[in-house]
Amino acid sequence: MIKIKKKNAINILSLVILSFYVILAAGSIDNDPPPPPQPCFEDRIYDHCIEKGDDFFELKNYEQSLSYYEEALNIEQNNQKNIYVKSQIAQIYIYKADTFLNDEKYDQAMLDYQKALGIYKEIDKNNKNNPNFIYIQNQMDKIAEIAHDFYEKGNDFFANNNYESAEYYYNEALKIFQSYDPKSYKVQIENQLNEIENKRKQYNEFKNNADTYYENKDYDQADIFYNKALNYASTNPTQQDKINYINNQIDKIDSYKEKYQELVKNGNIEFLDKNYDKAEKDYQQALEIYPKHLKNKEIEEKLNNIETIRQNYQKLYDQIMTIFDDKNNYEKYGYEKEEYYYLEYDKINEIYKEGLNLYPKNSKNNNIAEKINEEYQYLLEKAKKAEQVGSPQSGKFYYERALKLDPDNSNNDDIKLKINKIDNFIDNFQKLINDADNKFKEKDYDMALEKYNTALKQYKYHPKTNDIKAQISEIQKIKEKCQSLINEGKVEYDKMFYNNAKNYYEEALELCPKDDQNEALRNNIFEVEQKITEQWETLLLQWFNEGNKLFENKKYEEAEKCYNDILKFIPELSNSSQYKQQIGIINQQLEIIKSKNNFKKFILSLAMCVLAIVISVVTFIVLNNHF
Amino acid sequence: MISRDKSLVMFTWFDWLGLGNIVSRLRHQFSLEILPDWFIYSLPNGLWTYSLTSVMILIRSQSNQLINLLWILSGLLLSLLFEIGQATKFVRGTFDVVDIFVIIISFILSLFNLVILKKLLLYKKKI
Repeated sequence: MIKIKKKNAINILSLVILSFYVILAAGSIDNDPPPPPQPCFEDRIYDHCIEKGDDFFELKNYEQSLSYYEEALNIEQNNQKNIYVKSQIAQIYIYKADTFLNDEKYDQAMLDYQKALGIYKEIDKNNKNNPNFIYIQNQMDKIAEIAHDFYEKGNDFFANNNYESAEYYYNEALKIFQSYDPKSYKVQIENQLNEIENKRKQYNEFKNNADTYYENKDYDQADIFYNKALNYASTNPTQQDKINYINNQIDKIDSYKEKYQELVKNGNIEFLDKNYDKAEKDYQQALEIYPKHLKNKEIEEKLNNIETIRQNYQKLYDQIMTIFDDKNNYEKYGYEKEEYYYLEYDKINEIYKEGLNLYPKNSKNNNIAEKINEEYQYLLEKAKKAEQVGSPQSGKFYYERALKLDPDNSNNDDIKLKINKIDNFIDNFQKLINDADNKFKEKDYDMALEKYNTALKQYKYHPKTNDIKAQISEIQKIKEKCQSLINEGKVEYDKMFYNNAKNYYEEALELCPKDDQNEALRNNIFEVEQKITEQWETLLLQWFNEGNKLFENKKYEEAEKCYNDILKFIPELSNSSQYKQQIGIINQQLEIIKSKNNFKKFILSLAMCVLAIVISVVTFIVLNNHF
Repeated sequence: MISRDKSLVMFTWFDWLGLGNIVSRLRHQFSLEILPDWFIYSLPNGLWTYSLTSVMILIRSQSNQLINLLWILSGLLLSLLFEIGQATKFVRGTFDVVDIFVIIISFILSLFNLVILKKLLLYKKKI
């Protein structure tokens, strides 16, 4: 059973495979109907071909008919029936040509008319009046006329730059004129076709040049060449893409130009507005969009200007930042104290304003403003601290720096009030010092000392604190000296050197004329003066007595001297009523001494005269005796 | 398929199967115009015969029955009938003597395969 089944399976398989192969073989069978009869087999006869040709001719199957006729001609080239066959063939060509003519296939029609004409010329060489001959000639002239119309149309299209249509009509005309050109249009058409080709070449050349310039972003040149190319572009609708492409490119160039102009305009506005970052961005974009624009030199100059401005601004910025950063390095600026370094801050606002004027929209301005604000707050802190430690002058210094650093700060009104307050305080302080100084000059040392001490308490760290302290020290020294003089005076008084005591007291009084102790000192002086008077009185009496004794002893010269001494050294006594008597006596005694002195002078003068007379007489006698 | 005329039935089939474009591209890409005519027109027939005969030998060579011989000869007989049909215009196509020559050579070659196969079977049995 199994064997039978296997056998059946093999049979079925074989059958299936065979069927598959047969189907495959069917694939290689020709679809088309059998081709026209192959060239007549050797056993076909000449007449049979003609017969078949006639049959197909009757059925108006001219292709089949023609093939049979031509086969017949091939079989026997010298048969008499060939004239008939050829005339039939010529007729077929005429029919075909007419059909082509109806279908407007003029070149094929012309070819078939030519073939027909050639056959007629062969079989009827001399009969030009053959109606078929005339018909063919007329038809060919008609086609030539159509070709001429094509040529004219081509010219019209050429004149309108529609080169494709012109070329089409030229070619159509040329196809016809290739086989029949009675008026020799062929050369003209070929020239026109060459002209079209030149135009195309010219177009391609300009377009390629324009594309190259466009790619190189030389839009001016690209624009020129695109416009040139446009002049050579065909207006044919099929070439509209090319025109659209060029117009599109020109539009793009125009848009670049517009964009460029807009960017340059915006850049110029920004430049005038000193918004150099935006101006630079616009200029750079303009350069990028239109790198070969004629005005780019101006833009590059402006970019250079911007760079110069930026560099100058950077210098100012660095200058400000250096001032800020060198806070701890004040010595290099020639300042002994950090405090005075902040005078450098006065320059910052000026530099900042200069920078703002130079480059008002630079982003670094915010950095400077922030830094200024930071330093402003820092100065305020320093001012407050200075005030707190009792140095309002220093506080004022920092407040003033803050004002100069940021004159437009909203806190400045408060700061000005604080400065005014400090100024008032300083004025009051100065008045106090001036009063103290005046008191010092007036030698009112106690008052001066009190004012100086008050000032010191009010203003611990005033710059003139040392001067004040020096003044206080000076006052203290004066007072000490004054006390010392008084003490000396007392010592001299005790020694009964009243004049010395008086001198010391008076010196002390002169030194401290407005001292609290001066009343006592004046009493001391008065007391000393009394003592001195007492001493003088005693001395006067002694001298008077001594003078009298000398007078009594007739020592008039010594007595006179003594009396004169009394009058000289105690002049105030001469007017005193207490000593009138003594002075009267002295004057009397002096008168007496004076008269006695006058008598002496008279005697002496008389003696001198006598002596002179004696000498004169003696001299006369001697001279008289000798001469 | 690449070099044969497109009037063949198989190209209609390709169109039905939607492979017309692919076949056209292949024909366009691999146009073998330099090949001789016998390669294009006769060799396919020979290969067809060779293939069918070889398949039948593989299926039917187990026994020596007469019916098996007929199956093996089927490729040769069908090919020859096809050619005769063309000669008598019973089948569309062009009769060619070269076709018959190639078919017979192909058949002989496939028979040669049968001999080798048999020897191989004997060798296996001996082992």
